[in-house]
Parts: sequence; C-alpha cells; structure tokens
Amino acid sequence: MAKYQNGGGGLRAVRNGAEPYFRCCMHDFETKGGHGGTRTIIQGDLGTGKTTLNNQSIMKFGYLKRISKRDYMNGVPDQPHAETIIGRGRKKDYWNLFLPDNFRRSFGKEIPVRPMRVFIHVNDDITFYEQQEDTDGEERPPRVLKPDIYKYRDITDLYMHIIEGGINVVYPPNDYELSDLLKKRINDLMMKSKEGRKYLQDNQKISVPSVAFWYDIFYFFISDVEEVKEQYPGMKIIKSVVFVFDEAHQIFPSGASKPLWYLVDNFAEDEIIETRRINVSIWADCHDYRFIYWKILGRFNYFIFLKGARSMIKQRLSKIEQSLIDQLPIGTFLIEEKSGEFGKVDFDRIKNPPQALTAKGMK
Amino acid sequence: MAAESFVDKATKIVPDTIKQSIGKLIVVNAGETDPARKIHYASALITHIRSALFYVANNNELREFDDVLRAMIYSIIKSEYDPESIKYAYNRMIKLYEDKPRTWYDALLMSDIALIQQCRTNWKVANRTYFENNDAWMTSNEILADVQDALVEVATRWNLVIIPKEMPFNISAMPNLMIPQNQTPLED
Repeated sequence: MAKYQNGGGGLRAVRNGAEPYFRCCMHDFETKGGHGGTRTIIQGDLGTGKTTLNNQSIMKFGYLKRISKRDYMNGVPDQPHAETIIGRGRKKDYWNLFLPDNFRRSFGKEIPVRPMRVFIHVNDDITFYEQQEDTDGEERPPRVLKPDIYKYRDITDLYMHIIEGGINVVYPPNDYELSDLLKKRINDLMMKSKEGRKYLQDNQKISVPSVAFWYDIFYFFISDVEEVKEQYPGMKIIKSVVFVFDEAHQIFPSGASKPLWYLVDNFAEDEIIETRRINVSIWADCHDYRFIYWKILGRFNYFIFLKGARSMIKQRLSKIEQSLIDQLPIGTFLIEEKSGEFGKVDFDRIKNPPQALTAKGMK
Repeated sequence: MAAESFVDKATKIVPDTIKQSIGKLIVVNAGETDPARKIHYASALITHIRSALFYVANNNELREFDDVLRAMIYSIIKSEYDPESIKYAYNRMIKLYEDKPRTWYDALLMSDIALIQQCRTNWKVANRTYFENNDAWMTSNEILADVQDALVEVATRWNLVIIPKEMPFNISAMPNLMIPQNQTPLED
C-alpha cells in the first residue's frame, strides 16, 4: 500500500476517509446533477463493530434536495435533510438503541432522537424483549419493549405508514408467499410453457424465504409506487431511502438454491441497477464478501473494511491490499470508493449500549 | 452568578436548530508547508464558511432586535479597526435597523459574516504579498495564521466541522441529522 502513499508507513500513512464516508452517507438526486442512490458494503469479522458502525451511521444518513453533493462539498450552500431509513428486523437485534430512554443513556440528552416505527405483518404475533442486567446476584426478568408498532397488511400499506426521515424497522411476514410478479419473473427466466409441470401458476401458493419479501419491496419502490399514487392521489412519494441490511448475505446469498437463485440473479441483473435512479441506497454488511452473490457485489460502489475483512484486490473491485487490512485495530475502518480514493476512519464504542432485544414469535 | 457577557455568549456554541442542522463537514488539504498551498487552503475554507453562514442567514426567521450594537462593536474590535471592515459592519448595522427586529443570535451571525469578510480581505493581502514577491512568504504565512485562527473560531461556533485530510477523522465529528419530517406518505 505504500506505493499509493508516496513512501512507507502502512496504515499510518493512509489519509483520512472523511470525504468518501460523507459521500456514501449523503445522497443527492440525479436530476440535480447528483449521483443518486449509493450502495455500500461493510466487511468485517464477527465482533469487529459492524452493528455499532451501522447504528452510528444511521444518524448520519441524509440527502440534498437542491444541489449535488459534489457542489455541496465545494461550498455551495444547502441543508441536508434526514433520510428515511428502512432496516431489516432480526430475531436478535439492536434497534432498541433508538428507543428514547436507551438513546439518551447512550448519546445524551442534547441529540434529539429520530422517530422510529416497527412494522410487523398483521398475521404475526411478535413481541420484543430486552434482557436486563442482573443486580446483586438477582436475576431480573426481561423488559417488554413497547415501540411504536404498525401492523401492515401488504407492502402498499407498509409504504404508506413509513415515517419519512425516521427509522423504520421492518419484520418480514413469518409465512411469505411468492408474489405474482416474482412468479412471472421466474417463469420467464426458466422459459417454461404454461402447461409444463414446473410452471408456477397464478393461483398456486408457494411459501418462500423472507428474502423474496425484500425483493418485492424493491420492485415496489421501482415500479409499483407510481401506480399506487394513481389510486391514492394524496400520497407522497418518499424522496430518498436507505435500506440497512445487517447480515446482508441472507438477502443476497452467493450460494442460493435454484428457485431462489433466479430471484437473486434477476435482482442483480435488473433491479439493483434501477435503485440508483430512484434514490434508493443500500447499506449492507457481511462477514466476508464471498458470501454475497458476485453480480450484486459488483454493483456496490463503496467498500468498507473492518478488522478481519478480506481484500478484494484479486477481483479488481478494490485496491486495498490484505496487509493493510490486517493492520486495522478495532474501531477503525478503511473506506474506499470504487475506482476512487480510500481512507481510514475511526468510530467509537457506543456508551451504555442496551442489551440485544429478542423478537419472540419471529420464525 | 454574574450575568453572561456578550463575549461569553459570542464564543459559546449557539444552540439553534438551524445552526445544528447546517452541520457541515469541510474536508480540506491542511498541514501544507508550501505557502502557495496554504493560501489555497485558506481560500477554500473561506468559501465554505462564508457560504454556510449566508445559508443560515438566508434561511433564518427574523427575531427580536437585541444586542446588535454590541455585536457590531465586537466585530469592529475583532477586525482591529480596519477601515474596510468598519465600513462593512456599519452598512450591515444600517441594514439591520431598517430590517425587522432580530436577536443577538442574528447580530452574532452578522458579525461573523463581517469577520469572514475581513478574513477574505486579509487573505487577498497574503495572496498578493506572496505572488508579487516570492521572498515575502513569511509575511504571507503570518497573515494566513491569523486568518485561519479566525476561521476555525467561526466554524466551531456554527457547527461547521473542519477536517484536514492529514488528521484522523472520527465519525462522531460528522454532525448527526436529526430533524426528520416525522410524517408518513399519507399525511400532509
């Protein structure tokens, strides 16, 4: 890496990555001369701070309405707006950090809390518990969390109740069935006749992993939202969204079985490209880039390396060598813009973090 | 407890939502030893801070008039009786009187804009000094040192974060964006 830094010095010689980090957190509109949505992937070993980094970065996501971020960085005045965040709810999760009491304990009273809403499917019965620390050898019962919960019927209903500029944690339905749109796409890709045994009929109910639900949401943002607006003229279209996927290999798996592979491949070939234009950004993290489907990996344009990450230099996706990543301490990451500059950035441990919550009733 | 003096007020961080929301990260090439690069760095900083302050000024609601005179005096003291700056501050003051009532906060904003204007004038002097005579880089550096001190002071007051590329950067330095619309697509 020394060759990029005019001499030796390894990690110490790397400049800071304030600019690339700002660019991947701040989004602008293509119509205003900007780039549109960005796709960022974080790699790091277990326990190296991926979730900590996610939770701190969530507070930085924003978008510019009037100008491009390039102009903004060059001194053209504008005000960044808080961006809508859609996070994937997991069985063990840390979104309870953004509940007001927990948030104030960790970040102080000065910083206002972004509003948060948790979305659960109407047929599911999910409750949230937070373990409490034992005091004086006594075991304390888990605390029941009461966030703002909305029970959605379908994706349209979910969309209409998303808090703009807030944190929206979405739990996919426990029993999700393949939508007609995805059936059509799979049929087209498999090139089967309607009479064929493997043809997926419209009235056929096929249970699928919740991954399909996320693809349906992406399709909704790309195409269906315009049609829904015709039905509900008063409805606003959300201008800029970030999807935060913790453990993204579950959404974009590299070794998917055949039916799921069609969905993943179709998403990689088609939908992920459109996300940029509609200002949908993806912020995903995984343990190793090899767990992510390679065609999707090639569409990410910001790479973040935490301790224990694997260099992507052989894939020609990155120019950061393994020797440099191996020097990273916990609490520092390298951020690289694809075909652009890279730098190192520090982040702190969250003070007094809450215990991980448990989503009881989630299958 | 003694009453808070204007200087106390002026140097502390102003709690204002617009100021907080402007929270801008300014990444610059700092730590340069070459005088020409230093000049360029100061110029970039002036542009950023000036534009941010004008943005705050243009997007602020008018408030009650208070402490304006003291702010202007403060501005004049800071500019060390520079005739250009006094003239600028005087013009600003007249504009303020014509305008609707404002608070000391707005007066402070105006005084900072005047200060930045003064920085710009000084920067021009440094620039001219260096480029007209390359041997005069020491004079140029001295002027720029004062300019940079003033710039950092103003930037800190208005939640503008200056990050030199050579310095470590922690994500906590980047301002949080915490003023959402708090609405759903169905609501007005």
